[in-house]
Amino acid sequence: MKQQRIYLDYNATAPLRPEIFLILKTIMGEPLNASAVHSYGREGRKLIEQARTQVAALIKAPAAQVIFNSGATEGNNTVLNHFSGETILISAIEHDSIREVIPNALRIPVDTNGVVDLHAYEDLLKAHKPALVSVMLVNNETGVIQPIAKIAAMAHSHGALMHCDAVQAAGRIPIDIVELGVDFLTLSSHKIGGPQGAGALVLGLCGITPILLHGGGQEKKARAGTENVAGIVGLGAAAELALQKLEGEQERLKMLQHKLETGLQQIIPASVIYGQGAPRVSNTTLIGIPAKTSESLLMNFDLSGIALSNGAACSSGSVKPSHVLQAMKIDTAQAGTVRISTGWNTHESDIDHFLAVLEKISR
Amino acid sequence: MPVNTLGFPKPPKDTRVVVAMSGGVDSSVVAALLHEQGYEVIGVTLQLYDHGAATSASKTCCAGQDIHDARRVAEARGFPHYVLNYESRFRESVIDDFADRYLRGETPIPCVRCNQSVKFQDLLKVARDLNADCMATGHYVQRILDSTGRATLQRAIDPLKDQSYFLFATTQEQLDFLRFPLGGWHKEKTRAEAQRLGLITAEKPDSQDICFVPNGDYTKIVTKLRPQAATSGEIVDQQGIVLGKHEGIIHYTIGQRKGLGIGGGHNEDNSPYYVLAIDAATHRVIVGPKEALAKDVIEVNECNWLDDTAQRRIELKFRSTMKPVPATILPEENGQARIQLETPQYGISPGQAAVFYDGARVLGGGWITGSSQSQALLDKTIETGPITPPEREADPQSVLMAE
Repeated sequence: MKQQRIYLDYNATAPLRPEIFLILKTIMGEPLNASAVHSYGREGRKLIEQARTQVAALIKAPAAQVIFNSGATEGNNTVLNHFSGETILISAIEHDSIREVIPNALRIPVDTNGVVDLHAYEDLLKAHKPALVSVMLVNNETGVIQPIAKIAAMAHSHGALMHCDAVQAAGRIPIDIVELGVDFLTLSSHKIGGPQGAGALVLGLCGITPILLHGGGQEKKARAGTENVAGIVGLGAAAELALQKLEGEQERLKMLQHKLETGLQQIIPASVIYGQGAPRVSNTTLIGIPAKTSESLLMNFDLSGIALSNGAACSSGSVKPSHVLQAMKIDTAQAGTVRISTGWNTHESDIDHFLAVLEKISR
Repeated sequence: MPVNTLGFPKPPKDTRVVVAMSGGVDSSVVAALLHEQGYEVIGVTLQLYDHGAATSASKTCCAGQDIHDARRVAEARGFPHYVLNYESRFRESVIDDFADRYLRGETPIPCVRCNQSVKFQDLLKVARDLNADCMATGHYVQRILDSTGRATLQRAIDPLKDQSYFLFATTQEQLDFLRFPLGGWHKEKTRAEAQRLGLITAEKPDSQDICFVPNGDYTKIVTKLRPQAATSGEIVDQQGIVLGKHEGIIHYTIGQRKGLGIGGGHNEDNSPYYVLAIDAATHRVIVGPKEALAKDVIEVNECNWLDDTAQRRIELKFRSTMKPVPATILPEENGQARIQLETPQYGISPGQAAVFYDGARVLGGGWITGSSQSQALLDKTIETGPITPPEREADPQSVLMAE
């Protein structure tokens, strides 16, 4: 008997939207090298430029400022590496693709809700005069939204440039690169229903183009390597759909989140929702369940057919202590943590099913 | 309904068993075989250490080859498999303890500590959290029910693979929940089954070293963790006369004869010196004639008992590979005990385990804190010199657990 499987791990990767899958099937059947002079090349070029416009629209940037790459890990590495050797400030809750690039970057603490501590940040700016500040727009584990416009303005007033990993914000909240005042912004395709292996680095107006990969004229020499045409087209389509459906999805997922969180508090009154006191996106809920371990919870959910995670997974698939919760000064030994993250294909019945399994497991 | 092969009165498909998979051939066979028999198998592998971080600057992936192999076996056979990160727990309860004991002049056995803390405590709790009926491992040891239905721990059928010494600290409660399907097998049979099942681990060599010590060079890892272990000091005889210098007590084990670097002998016959004791406080290595190594009293603490009959005449092993010797146990307070050996023995080192047997059955054991000579032994003339010590008595790390 095959068990019904429910996917609640969108922040790790979202399922490919079926309409994008259809587009990819067509494109991948053609040799579309966008740098070639022949007709196939022109076709590829046209598709990429169309995708550039779609991605630019999602974050309200000029299309010329969008550089396609392999994803947010590459985007983050590209920006951070450009400033290696200089003083860099990052928040304590950044993704590993920020934290591990410059291990000695100075860390901006967060409060117990997981929001960047602006007072401590200001002190760090004054004391260290950094060249770059990097703070994510939405945290991948808690879903907490960071006050990026304010953080960027403060960075600029102290002569620093601002990078923002906006991967978990895309398609979940409106993004306007000019309003945010960000100099570098990274995006990923597979978090918004596009294919894996594509992403973009979007430049603000500082005039600096960080380059990681050399050896070809692609992307105006900003990113060498034959363009991943299908991936880029998929990213473009996903960006367009994300923007189109943003408002409706935000509302719909908010209702699911409400149902999930009230159900959780009923089943386990002692459970906690991390970051609850701060503005959060409507698709992410990080919960702590007392007297359980994250490992046992994850395994029990998986054995019951529910796919979720507890935040950042190691490449071996093992569960490691969350640096985000540590930064929020939460004692992870006291409660097991699981993250429920929803998306375009999550239905109310999935939440019902999750709650039923939770009730069974918590008994 | 008759009981199934794991001892439960229900069909295998309704019996959930967590298999602790190391990525080696033994636990792979256990998992694959139970799965083949129709049990609901859940494979679990512990990530315990990171070679790169622990020993050198090289950056290695946190997923070691063994974890990878365990996962591949599970994928191929089609049962769920999980990796649990126990690095910090392992570091605290096994690696730090290992280093600290060397620092105190002891000769530790990390595998027992790992079974005691990480595997049979933490992992077992995970198995219970998963509502498993039992947890199976690839250890070569037998769990046999006695006439009252109580689970007993017994030596493996294969004397070369027997791991009972390393499992002495298993509590009755843990034993009740554990299963060791390979205890009745010879290693050749395990290998043959691995071949039959087509496991990718079928040809994998047995592990010989301590898992977190690459190439068996434990001095390197201990000195990295505790630089003071390499503090030089004096080699002295029993009278305190300085015979030479050494580069750290970490390089010495009680009973050691070779590699003392002080040349010559202690009498006109040029009889060799042996390490008698290690004084961690003064960084002194005390050497003397082999006779002085002969001890017939062993003190142990943290005793674990798998037997309530208060049997006091036992057979004792204070090294995994030795033949058991007869002894009498005198229990003391707080889990301590005094063991009187019938015949004096050589190379008894603090930090090792003293394991009590009744034939094949493990009655319990404790951790050696010290050894001495009884009055009766002291009264005997030393010339009658009982047994010749083996060439290299103390090499306790030479045979360790595969699992």
